[in-house]
Amino acid sequence: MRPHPRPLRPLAMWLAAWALAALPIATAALGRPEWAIPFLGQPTPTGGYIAKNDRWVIVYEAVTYSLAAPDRIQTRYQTILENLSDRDQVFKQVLDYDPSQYTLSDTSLTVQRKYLWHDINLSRNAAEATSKDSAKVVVVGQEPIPSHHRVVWEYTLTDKLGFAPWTGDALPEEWPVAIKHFTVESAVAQGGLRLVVIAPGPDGTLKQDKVDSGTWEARDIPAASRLLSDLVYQPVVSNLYPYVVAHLQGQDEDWPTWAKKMAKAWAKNADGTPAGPLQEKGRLLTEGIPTPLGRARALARFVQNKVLYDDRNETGVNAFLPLTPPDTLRSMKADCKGKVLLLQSLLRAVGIESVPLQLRVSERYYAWGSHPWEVGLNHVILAVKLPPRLPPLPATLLKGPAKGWLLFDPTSRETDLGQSPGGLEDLHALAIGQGCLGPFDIHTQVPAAARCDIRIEATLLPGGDMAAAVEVSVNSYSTLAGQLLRLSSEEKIRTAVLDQVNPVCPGAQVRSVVVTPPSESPDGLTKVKLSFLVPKAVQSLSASQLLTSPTALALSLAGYPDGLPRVSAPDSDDRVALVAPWNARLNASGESTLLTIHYGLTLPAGLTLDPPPSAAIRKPWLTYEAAWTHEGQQTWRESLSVAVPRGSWPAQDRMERLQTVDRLLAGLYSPLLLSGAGGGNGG
Amino acid sequence: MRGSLWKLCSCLVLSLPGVMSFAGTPYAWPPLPDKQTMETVLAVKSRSGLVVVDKSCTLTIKSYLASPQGVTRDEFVRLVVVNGDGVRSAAVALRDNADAKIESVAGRTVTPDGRVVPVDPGKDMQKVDISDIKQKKIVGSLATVHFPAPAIGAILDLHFVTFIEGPRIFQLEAVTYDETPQLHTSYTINIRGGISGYRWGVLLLSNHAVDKQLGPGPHDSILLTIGPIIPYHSEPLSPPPYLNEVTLLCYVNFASEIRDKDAGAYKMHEAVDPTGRITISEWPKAFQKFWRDELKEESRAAKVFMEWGGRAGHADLAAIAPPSLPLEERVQRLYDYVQQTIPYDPDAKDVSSLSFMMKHGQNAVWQGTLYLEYLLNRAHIPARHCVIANRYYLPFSPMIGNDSLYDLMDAVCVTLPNGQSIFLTPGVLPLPFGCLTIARQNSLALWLDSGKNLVAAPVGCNPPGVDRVCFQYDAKLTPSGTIEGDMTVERSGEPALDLRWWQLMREFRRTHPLKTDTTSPQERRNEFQKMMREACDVPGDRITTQNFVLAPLSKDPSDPVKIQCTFQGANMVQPLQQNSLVSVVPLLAGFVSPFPDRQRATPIWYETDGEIEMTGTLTLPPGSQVVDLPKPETVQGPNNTTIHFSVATSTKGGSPMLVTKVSFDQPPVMGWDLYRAWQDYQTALARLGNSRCVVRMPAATAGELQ
Repeated sequence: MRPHPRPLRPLAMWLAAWALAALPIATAALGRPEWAIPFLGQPTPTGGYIAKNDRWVIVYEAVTYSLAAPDRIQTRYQTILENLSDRDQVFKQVLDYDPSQYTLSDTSLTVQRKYLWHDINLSRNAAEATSKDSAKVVVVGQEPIPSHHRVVWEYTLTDKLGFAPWTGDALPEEWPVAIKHFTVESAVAQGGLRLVVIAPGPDGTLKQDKVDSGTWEARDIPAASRLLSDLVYQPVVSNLYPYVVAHLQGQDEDWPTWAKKMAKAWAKNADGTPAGPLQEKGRLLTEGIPTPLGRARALARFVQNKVLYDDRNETGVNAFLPLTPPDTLRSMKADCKGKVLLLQSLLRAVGIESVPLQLRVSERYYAWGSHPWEVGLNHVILAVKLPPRLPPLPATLLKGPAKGWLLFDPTSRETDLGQSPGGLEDLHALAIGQGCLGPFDIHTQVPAAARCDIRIEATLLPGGDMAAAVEVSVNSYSTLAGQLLRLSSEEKIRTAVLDQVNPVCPGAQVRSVVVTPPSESPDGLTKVKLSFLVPKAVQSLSASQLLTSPTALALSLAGYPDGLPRVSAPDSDDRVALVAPWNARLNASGESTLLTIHYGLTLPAGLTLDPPPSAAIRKPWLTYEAAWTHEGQQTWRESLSVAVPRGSWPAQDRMERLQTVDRLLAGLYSPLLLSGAGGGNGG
Repeated sequence: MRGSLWKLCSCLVLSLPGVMSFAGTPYAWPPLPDKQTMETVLAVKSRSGLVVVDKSCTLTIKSYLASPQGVTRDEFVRLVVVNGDGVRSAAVALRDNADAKIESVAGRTVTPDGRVVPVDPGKDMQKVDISDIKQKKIVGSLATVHFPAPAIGAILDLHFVTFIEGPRIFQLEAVTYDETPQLHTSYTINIRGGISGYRWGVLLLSNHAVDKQLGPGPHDSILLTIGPIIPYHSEPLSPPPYLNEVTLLCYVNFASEIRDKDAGAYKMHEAVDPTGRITISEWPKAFQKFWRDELKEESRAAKVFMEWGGRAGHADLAAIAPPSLPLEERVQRLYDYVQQTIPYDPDAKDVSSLSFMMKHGQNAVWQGTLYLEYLLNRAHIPARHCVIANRYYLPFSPMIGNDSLYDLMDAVCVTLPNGQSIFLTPGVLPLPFGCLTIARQNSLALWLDSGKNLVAAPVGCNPPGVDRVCFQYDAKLTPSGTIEGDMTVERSGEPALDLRWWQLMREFRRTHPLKTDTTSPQERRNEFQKMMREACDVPGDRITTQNFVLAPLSKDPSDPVKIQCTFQGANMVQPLQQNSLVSVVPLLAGFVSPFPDRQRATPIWYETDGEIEMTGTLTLPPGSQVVDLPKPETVQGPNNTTIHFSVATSTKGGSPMLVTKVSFDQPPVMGWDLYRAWQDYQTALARLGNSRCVVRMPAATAGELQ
């Protein structure tokens, strides 16, 4: 080996020493975004809010709101995550957004390799699926991130429409979060953009850095999967945990302003429609019908039944505004907005006034709030003005700007115009039309609760089989009968019925089934007539006989379970320590419902029924009544009702409610105890 | 770099109109059907609410030796809406592989009053492009056309062209749309290129009668016309859809002497019994030579493998299986010996001889099977080498000359003095003697008789008593109305197979870890929990299991795999006036028969089989009194299946206790011809499984429960 020339050796040594000394500085500076550097030195987050099975933790996340234009809110997300598992993991991020509403920009992914930070070339390492109106971008880091190493992920979404001048961010997220900052850029704070935290309770976890600083901070947030497993009687998540909204001050601050804006935009969509074809359509559909109610019903049935519900258009501005009537008539498909606008236009064409009502429908309770950006409106229905009648029709609104008008939901097929539609009682609504009169609570002549009325005539046959004739009347899709209306073949209807009934009556046979739509039923509700044979309905024990209760049959048809769902305690590796506000549990119902059951039971000679005593439960959140009568020699009758109002009640009643409802359901499904002989030997 | 992703996204979005170009010559729609045809179509029953009146597809397959390689589909389909379901489902997903690129789409609705509403691609089509950003191109598209203005009696026309890049040696596709009857279908198939020296075959596979004609078409194409097709309807626990749908198969036929039209004459519907098993009454001559050659090759390869026995040749057979013993016992002893002495090493490389395997280990199940065959030969016990088909692949084997399309397992068949044949696969190390895996039961075995005659014989199910799952529990009823306790689950035979393989591999990996394995301890724990939860799964829906302990693996595969766990059950108590009703079989509580329909067209295939036994005790709260109990009952089902049910009372520590025993059979398959009887059996099981007894609780507890 040839030796190095002596004069160079000191220089090489010096260079090597310098390189070694500078290595930490160089690696620290390489590839990392400047904003992230202060947080990258923080230790691995720990605490009871992180479960052993959480594979990533968000070390720090900043959500920064600014304005791209005077009414275009821009949101920048900057996130630092750490691989919590004890092995390498590929970082994968799915970004799902609506490109007709937002622009995605400034995406960047930087990952910490074993020694160095590295900027991932997303154009090489990302894959994506793009559809016409909505895009899902799947970003894959593709290289494994070592245990307890970090990634820095950032992107910006900019509102393109400026239609709704606000944007919201709900907590919790997919992974636990150590620190999260919400900030309005100071330069734009003066432009009217401000942050509002909607917190459910007084001890909200979000804290403002300092008064009017524009920055809010949240810490120690458990992952969503650790919080959202048991939501019986809980409101929507944004009412349960802190929710942050950035909105432009002075724009759409109150309901009347929003209503005016919507009315104007709707009118623009409707105004472009030539009146001629609509008038012709309206005339054709109402030809020969003498009364305004009859004409309105004919038009309502057309939109309700002939125009298919289809919400594929709900992206971009179409999330707020309806399809034009010609568009709807071309495809004969529309979402709630398109149906409402078409019906409103057809009604106008025959001289009937109506007004759209915006609202939010949800199985879970929500608080209406005093600003449009607090609610998340998701549905539109219609109030139709017709000459007053005595007695008033069930759907007549009792208060609000459309008092005396008929409430009608053209997306619901279960009720005819005039009958009160299901699931709307006590919801808040906003009338958008002439005068734009603001929000009100829906109350109708017959409360627009989701109603299910079941009548059964059951006969226990001498061999132990039970024959049952059942009549169900509903005004809502939420029960089986409402769903049967959408099935065309008898075979499918039978299968759907048996799926519900089989757990209660094994081997039950549907002898006949007739579904009558509201337009053909005398009271404008959906009717289902069923005839069952339940083989071996009697379970013969050694000394007594148990008969499958007709109440259980009715409850299964109405879709009520035989007890509240049990939520098992999470495995120890999935468990987190919950502190306020993440331990919040409220007591609320999102929809008012009313179930009534009337049945008669005839037993063969020799058998008698010792009916349970009449019972009642009267609580703010539940009313239950049941009463028995003995009719003739061998026939007994029971009438019962279960009513749940929409509302929110003190959280401390929740446990009592859970126990009460659980016991009630178990009891309602209980078989009946027969005495005597003659029930057959059904097992 | 920032922004580049979005630029690419934007490019893709902007390029969509180009991709969906409707430029060029508009598609010339065929004439509309006449009034009489429409009346006939509207009378057709359809689950989807749609009827395909006509489907015409031109498939151009360019394989190896052709250019450009790929499959082009040019398809026209005409549907009629026949009921309200069809109005709601008036949409067609373009049927092709996910890597197909859509080159053009056109569609229209002709309303019952004759109005023509064209499909507007911007409003009526949902299309997703799968992009490979690295190559900056769209690699595949999925699209669904939602027809505008659907109404009963409307005609829905669709024409589209797709292209899949790359060579193919087979093309397999369902002929029908989901649950939609199809009145007339035609395929024009152009095939270019392939594998030198082999012809292409075209087959139509169907489990029921379908009128079809296969013949030469224009320009050297193959023309296939198919008459009315009743669509496949999915039923609970039925064989996979691909075994029931009418399926078109174009494949390179390695039985090269078969002419295309002979291959096409093969009719599946003549060859399936009610259990879904292929039955071959007459072996098509065209296939005999191919399969003879295949089996001869199998036999030759087996001989080569067994030529050098190594350590296997040193086994003292007279001591292991003395000739004085009955034949079955001798065979069983040799079978057990094979499984006890075979070294297991899934990492072993190039296992080309028995000698090598004995030294380095078995890495494939056929090796163990040949080991047994070798010992049987040495012991002068007549044994036949055969292959058993996987019944999940039967329609593609053994009648099709393309080994890409079947799955056969080597086996040894021994015929006992009573004429009974036993099929043995000891290389499946966790399987005890006399047992086959679920996919090989109720299947078909093939062998060469006297080295030349092709024989196909049915393979039965495992003998009674071998496959078992036993649940034993000891539980108590809590004051809050829940049940909690300990449970032991013992799985034997086929039901233990997956668990034993997993356990075998786990123990092997403890001493032979893979360098590339990065599984974390947490992931191992999760995998263990998942396996245990599945192994302890019960038919009812009211209990949850946890705290699993798996007993060490026994070497003897006839020993059960044993798991201990704790369980909790909810919704087990109902009020009954002044008393309570308590579920007496917690593990079956909530069980519902999966067969509500009164008719069935497909066989029932279970994923596991055997006799299931549940015995246990449920201790009631102190001071309770059992007022009434269900009576014992026995229910007979089809194919010698039986349910035994009994419940009695006892006491434990002064508290009353329910002692319950339930057993029932679950065969691997049940033919559709026995469906009604099997449905009654399952209904009885649901009724007995949900049995309750009447209990009078002590006052305080009764208050809690009611």
